[in-house]
Amino acid sequence: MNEFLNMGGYAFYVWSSVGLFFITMLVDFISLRVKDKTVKRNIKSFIRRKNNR
Amino acid sequence: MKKQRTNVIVRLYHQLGSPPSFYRISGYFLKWLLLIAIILTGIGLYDGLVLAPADYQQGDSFRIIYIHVPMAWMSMFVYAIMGIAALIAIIWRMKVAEAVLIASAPIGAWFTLITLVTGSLWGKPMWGTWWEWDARMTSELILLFLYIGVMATYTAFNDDSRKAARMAALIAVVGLVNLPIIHFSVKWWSSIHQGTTVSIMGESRITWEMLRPLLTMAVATKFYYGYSMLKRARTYLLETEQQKRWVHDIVEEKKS
Amino acid sequence: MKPFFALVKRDLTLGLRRKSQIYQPLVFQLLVVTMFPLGLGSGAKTLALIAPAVIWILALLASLLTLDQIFKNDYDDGSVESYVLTSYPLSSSVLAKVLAHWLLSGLPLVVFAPVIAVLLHLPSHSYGVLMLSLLIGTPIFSFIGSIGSALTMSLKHGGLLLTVLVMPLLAPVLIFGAGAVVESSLGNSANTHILLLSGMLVLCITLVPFAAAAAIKINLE
Repeated sequence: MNEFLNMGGYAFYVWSSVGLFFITMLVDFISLRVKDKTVKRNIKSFIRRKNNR
Repeated sequence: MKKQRTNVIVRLYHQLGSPPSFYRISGYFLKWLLLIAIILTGIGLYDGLVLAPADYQQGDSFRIIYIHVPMAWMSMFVYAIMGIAALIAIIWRMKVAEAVLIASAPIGAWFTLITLVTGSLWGKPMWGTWWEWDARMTSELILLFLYIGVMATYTAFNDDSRKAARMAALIAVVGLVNLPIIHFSVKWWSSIHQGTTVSIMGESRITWEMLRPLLTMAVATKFYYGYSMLKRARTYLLETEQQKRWVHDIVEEKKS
Repeated sequence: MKPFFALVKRDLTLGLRRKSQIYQPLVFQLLVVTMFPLGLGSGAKTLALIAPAVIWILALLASLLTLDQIFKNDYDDGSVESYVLTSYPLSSSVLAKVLAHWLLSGLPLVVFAPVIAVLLHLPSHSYGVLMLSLLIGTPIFSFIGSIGSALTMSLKHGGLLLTVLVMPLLAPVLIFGAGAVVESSLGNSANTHILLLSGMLVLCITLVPFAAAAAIKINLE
């Protein structure tokens, strides 16, 4: 296991690449979900305002 | 009846061209795209980081290939999709194509950024430098600028999303036409300025055990792109059509 | 052809009256080029080494100063709409605008280049190639810039966006333009570079007017 984590001495380079990949994909995933939620919430309040009028 | 069957592709084209049916049809795929992407990424990375043998020249550092190369492929693949969507958006003024274009830009830019940074992380142990102005890295950097240009154009016209999308489409097409010119001139430029061309792949031949995870990752990232792009495109359509009936139906339905 | 020259003439008259479009880029070049020896040391050898790149990058930056004006003023006073509404093809009007812009701010850069070259100790046998490469390259700046200007003309602060859009597209021009001067300063033939630059210019003349016209139409929607 230790040997695997060590990556033949290249641990820093390999694991930061993998980490960067996951973090970036996660940021993308979260940002598109947040955006989707915000847009839906805005539309809901838009509808509510229209109905109240 | 017969007529409908012969026109199945045409019908699909028209269905996908209308925002409500695009929204409905893409909804069936979303979950599966994400699921397959996650599973394939798991398999691919396990295969690449654990099972694949170390390269005899580069040792374990070559394993960065399983992030770097799929990302580099995707950065170009996404730009190609963007270019096609942009052409459709300009010629036929298809709203869904605009959504695909705008939704592709952020994920494409992320792919390009990862390509650059992982390339740098690979370059440090292999070439002894974080950055080398070689042809591929330079054109990848310019590709990132082109992505930023498309996104910046869209945000600049934020008061009118239709106009903004068509402007962004125009810039994407101009970039698509320029990309080969940029690519070849940069390639030619670097061949003049460097005595020896730096090559990450080197002479070492790639075996099936090494290639398998690479292909798996290439497919996995395409599925994630599919998810990210469709999801963003759906949000985009909701946002830009928020006056329309079908959007209200969808949003209200979710609430109850 | 009559409307074409009328438009060029109108732009030249306006530009010559305003003058800032002509001298500002040159003053900018002169100011920036002064900074190089101050920052780098005044050694003739070092300066001659970087001269081709510096002259070309300065030309690029100086062009960027005025690129947004290709359509901006016409958009503000509403004359862009008249280009769209007349029966004269919009792409030809774009061509006229680009030509006028180049005559006003590109050509002065070409003429002024030897002054910059002297200050940077460029070998004297490269002056011909320098001016020729700029003569072919600066119109490309105006062409690509016209697309950016057509896109950003309706924005209040479109300058940075224009730079972001135009810069990556101009990378090949810089490569071959500066490359030509480097080759000639080393005593080699710069024919390949000049021919490739000319090819790019031809491509620009044929394609850019349509792209810029499309941008104008979208912008006026």
